[in-house]
Amino acid sequence: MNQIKSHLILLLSAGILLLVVFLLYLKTGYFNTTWEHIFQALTNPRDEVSSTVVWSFRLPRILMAFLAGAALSVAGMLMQNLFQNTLAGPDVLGITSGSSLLVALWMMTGITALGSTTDLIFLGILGAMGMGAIMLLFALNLRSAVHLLLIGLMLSSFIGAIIAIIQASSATQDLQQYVFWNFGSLQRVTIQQIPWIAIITSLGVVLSLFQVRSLNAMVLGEDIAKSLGVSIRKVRIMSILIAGILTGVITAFAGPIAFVGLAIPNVTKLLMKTQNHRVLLFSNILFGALFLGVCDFAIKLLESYVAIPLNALTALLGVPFVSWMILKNRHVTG
Amino acid sequence: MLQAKQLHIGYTESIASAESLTLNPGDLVALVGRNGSGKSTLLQSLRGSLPILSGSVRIDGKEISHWLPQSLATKIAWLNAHFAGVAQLLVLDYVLLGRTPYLGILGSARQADVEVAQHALKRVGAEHLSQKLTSSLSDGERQLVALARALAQDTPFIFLDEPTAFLDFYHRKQLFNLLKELATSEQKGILLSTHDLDLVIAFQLPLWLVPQDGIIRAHEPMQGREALEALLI
Repeated sequence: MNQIKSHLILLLSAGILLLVVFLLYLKTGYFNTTWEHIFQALTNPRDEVSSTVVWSFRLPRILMAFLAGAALSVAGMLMQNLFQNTLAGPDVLGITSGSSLLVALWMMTGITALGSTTDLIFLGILGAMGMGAIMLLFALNLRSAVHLLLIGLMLSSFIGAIIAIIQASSATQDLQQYVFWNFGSLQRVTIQQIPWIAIITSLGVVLSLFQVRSLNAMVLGEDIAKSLGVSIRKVRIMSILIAGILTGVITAFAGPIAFVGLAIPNVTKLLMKTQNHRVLLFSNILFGALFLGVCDFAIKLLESYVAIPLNALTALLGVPFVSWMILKNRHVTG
Repeated sequence: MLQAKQLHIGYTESIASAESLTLNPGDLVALVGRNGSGKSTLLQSLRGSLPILSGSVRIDGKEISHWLPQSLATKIAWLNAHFAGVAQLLVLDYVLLGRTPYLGILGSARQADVEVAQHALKRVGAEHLSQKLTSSLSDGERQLVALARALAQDTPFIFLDEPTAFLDFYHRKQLFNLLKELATSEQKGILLSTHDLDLVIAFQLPLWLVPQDGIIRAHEPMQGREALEALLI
């Protein structure tokens, strides 16, 4: 079949590009490394500067970029499916800000319960899922997608206000930590944390895979999906749960990263020309990882001239794209 | 067989009721009544999408609320007034979604499912549309492929809520023809709500009338003047 062929070509190209970005990323930086250094560091790390540079700085950062891009894109795909709205995404619906609130509280008030890393993951996910549930309540009572997006934006501002109060009354050091977190950065993640983030992200992907039949039917709207035997309640709970897990774990470690979750699922749908969510799921993972990998690579290349926070770059790229998409679809209602 | 008895329907209070209604495979029944009389509510109640207030609705003798969603989806297919089309969704993939209740949890369609979908498209005379995008179809074509999706669902019953609302006269008549044919040759039990009194009379369809007093009754096919008087209540 023709479509399968073009899907394979696109995914294969994305896979190859991903590998290229990965290798170039490992090689690039202040400290000069040769390909031999990289190869040796990856296969047989020794107590050398090059190995340390790769394992402590470059490898965790690029892996985190891939994981964050993949996770946020899948979360965006689920949100767009659930709300049947191409402008939905974890950040516009306020889900990311749910994580921000709890992380801000944790960073700036010094309340800890389970030990730092576990706390951070737990709070990030809890905040994301909490906001997801609140948005779902609104979604059940609002027919208009525009109203829903407005509520999402207002809730984000509302949470922003609370965070501002916390910021105003916190110590300089804590404040600084939060501000840097809020920029969105992949640098703080250590190589020891990567497996945990990878496991939680994979869990989200596997759970999504078991939702594919329902996700496909949801494209026809809840009423028809229900008549096709889909349990709407289950889809809603699962989509919020999975998007919460994915957004929460990434936001906890890398800060709020805007627009990836909104733009990538749309780009993916345009490129793959399908509504089959099994294909879309894997494509979102690859394209999302590639996009954020390239973004962070660009940031790294420009580092010596200008410091661009990740969250700023994704917004700089995302806003024109989403504006274009809205203009292009202005004749379509909903 | 689909059977409703001592039925009271509505969201919180009863807006319509029926002593006894029966839909058999092979029946094509027109549900007729004014806007807001409760036609859609009846359709929702009979397909288990809205809980009934009292009485019973049974399919093959089993109360509708006791059916699991996935099993119920192999009994009743549902078409609403307007399928707007979905971006990036091919007609064949759309019709394949009718196979949802038969697919495994990963949603992979087998070759047999694809064949059912292709056969359904052929049945409604829309096989030439199979590789088109659903968003690029005309209103008439959309209703045809929507009917194909319902056929692919392979159910003994099909409910349609004002399927002709957006169609011109030619396509209305075409759809009525097709439904009549499906009822007779494939033994589908079809219930459609409609305002096309002219076609209801011309096709001599049995009726379920929803009058203003809210008491729904089944009627034999009506003729000319008698029909218009009864239907214009």
